Amino acid sequence: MDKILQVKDLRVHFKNDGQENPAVDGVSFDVYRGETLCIVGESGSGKSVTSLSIMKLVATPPGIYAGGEILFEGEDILKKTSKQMGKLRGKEIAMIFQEPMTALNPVHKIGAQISEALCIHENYDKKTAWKKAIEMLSMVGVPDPERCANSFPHQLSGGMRQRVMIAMAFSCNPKMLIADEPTTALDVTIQAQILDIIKKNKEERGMTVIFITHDLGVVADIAQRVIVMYAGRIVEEAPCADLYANPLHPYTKGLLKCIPRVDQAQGELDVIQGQVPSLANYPKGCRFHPRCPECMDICKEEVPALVTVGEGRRVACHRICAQCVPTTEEQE
Amino acid sequence: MTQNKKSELYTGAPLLQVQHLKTYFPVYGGALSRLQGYVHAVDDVSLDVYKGETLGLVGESGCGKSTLARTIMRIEPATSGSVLFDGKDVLALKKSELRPMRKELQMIFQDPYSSLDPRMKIGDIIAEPLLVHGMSDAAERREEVYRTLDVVGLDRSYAERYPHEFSGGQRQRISIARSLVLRPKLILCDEPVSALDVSIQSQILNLLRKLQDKMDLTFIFISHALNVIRHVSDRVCVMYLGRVVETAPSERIFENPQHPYTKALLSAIPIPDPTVKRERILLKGDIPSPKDPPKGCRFHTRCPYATARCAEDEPQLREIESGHFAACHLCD
Repeated sequence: MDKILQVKDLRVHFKNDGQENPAVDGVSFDVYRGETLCIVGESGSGKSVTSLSIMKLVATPPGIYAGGEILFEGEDILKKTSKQMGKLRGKEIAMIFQEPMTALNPVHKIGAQISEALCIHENYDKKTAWKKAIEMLSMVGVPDPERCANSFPHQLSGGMRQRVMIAMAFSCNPKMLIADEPTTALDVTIQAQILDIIKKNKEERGMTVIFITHDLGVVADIAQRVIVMYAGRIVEEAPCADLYANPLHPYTKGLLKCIPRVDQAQGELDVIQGQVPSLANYPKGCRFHPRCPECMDICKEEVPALVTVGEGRRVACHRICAQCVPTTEEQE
Repeated sequence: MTQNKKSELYTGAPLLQVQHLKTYFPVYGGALSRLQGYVHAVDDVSLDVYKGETLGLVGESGCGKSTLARTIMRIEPATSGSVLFDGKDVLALKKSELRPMRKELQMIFQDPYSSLDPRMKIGDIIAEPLLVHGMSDAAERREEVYRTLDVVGLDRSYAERYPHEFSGGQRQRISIARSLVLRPKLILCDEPVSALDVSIQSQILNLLRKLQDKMDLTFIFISHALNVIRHVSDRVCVMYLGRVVETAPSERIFENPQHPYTKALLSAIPIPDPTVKRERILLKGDIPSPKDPPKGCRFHTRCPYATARCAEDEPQLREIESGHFAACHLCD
């Protein structure tokens, strides 16, 4: 299959009090054209920083691109100038953020904000761009698109604002969409509507979607492949159905077990003991080892490599590595 | 909650009785800041809470669930109605009489970052309610703080540390300790786990359940997450735009929901299992503004089954089967 994006050994550090802390620490993955890839993790796992890096949007300073490459259709994004990035953002890769209020400009009308991208990337004149903006708004299910185009962001509800963001993201027909927790700030009934719009448009346009979330329920709903991150590293990668049917990494197993289910009654919940380590004090060896119920001696000392263990499956765990035949090992 | 305990639950007088409670907030606007109307945050809500149970209060943002809790606590003034706690009307109490009442009635807030004073040591935060309620002996207070720290699973040495040194989950444990230290009868938990990561969320949910069994507590548990509500609640109360639309024992709500809103809400929750396929009810539009709620049934603007009658006639809560109430014309 055709790889639209290749992230190779990405390292992003943040400088704090003279100390450099790794927020993303050697992350490598591929994204295939036309798929929906979910990146899951808790706060501090590095999933948002990874997605911002793909758009080259990490603020430097305090951020530092400490290493690795991000190849979008073969070209390294991290080597591009800001002018080149301006041509890419919105046109080739679009992004939707978690909080649509802070992502929209409060002093410009919605219509103007959507047409701006069209004028810049597609050389539309203002009038046709405005018309196209209204068309985009009706496409994402805004009930009165003309009135919406003439309103300011504060006049709209959270769900409407997120629709505007999606309309904006889709307006230049990008090849890839990055959605960073787009439904976290929304109510569940609105979340269902937004997920539906993203799914439908992705199908129609054959777009590639990278979806970042902490909600494993949302993942099960939209993902084809899933990457699980913990403390700045990938711990597991798998096709969606396989991940839920047979999670391999103890962290993934724990996560799946500790969520209360709405479709069945449960007794006491399973828990993952302890807390997510902070950026400045990552433990040695496997970063999950202090919380891991299956921890071995080697886990405290050596970082487990992310190895291929099956069709499209990779996992970083010493216990799994010890079981599988070493011929499948992959050095990256 | 164990099964045999449940059968004893609903005998005798309820611990808390909310009757026809209304909380309106005035809205001022225009050049002269004249009164323009009222936000009907809580609009004629009646409910009973029995000793030893957990009542789950669920609804989307703006449905009035938090305002209801804050009105019960007398943080917000009620417009009309009554709240009987142990037979006494909380809303009629004078300021001087409030303090003894609050000893019995405590609250845990959503955001553990803003609900703890950053300049106080943990020990002092937990001891403050004791001091306020007249425990003047410092050594006695200290002893009580240590005992409470043990109960919520925190180390005694934490008493000497400050809130910023703790993670979200630990801060929420501190909040819980503060609410427990006076040994209240009823605790109002306002979204206590929404700000936490999933792996931490299950730890706090298990802790609350353990405390309930051990200390004979009654909870009102507010959340927008239906999976969490199912896990903790004995009875569930679903709110929409300031009204209760359905209330029933937990398993009834989840196995056999009656109100179309409850059905839609349940179907919108993503389930963390890609093999579960469900018919999803997608609601149209947004929640109407509580400033100007729709006439008739408040849900009729979004309801897929609405009839002409629903737009005119407001349905009342009616008992459909023992203990299961719903406010919908279609359930007659």
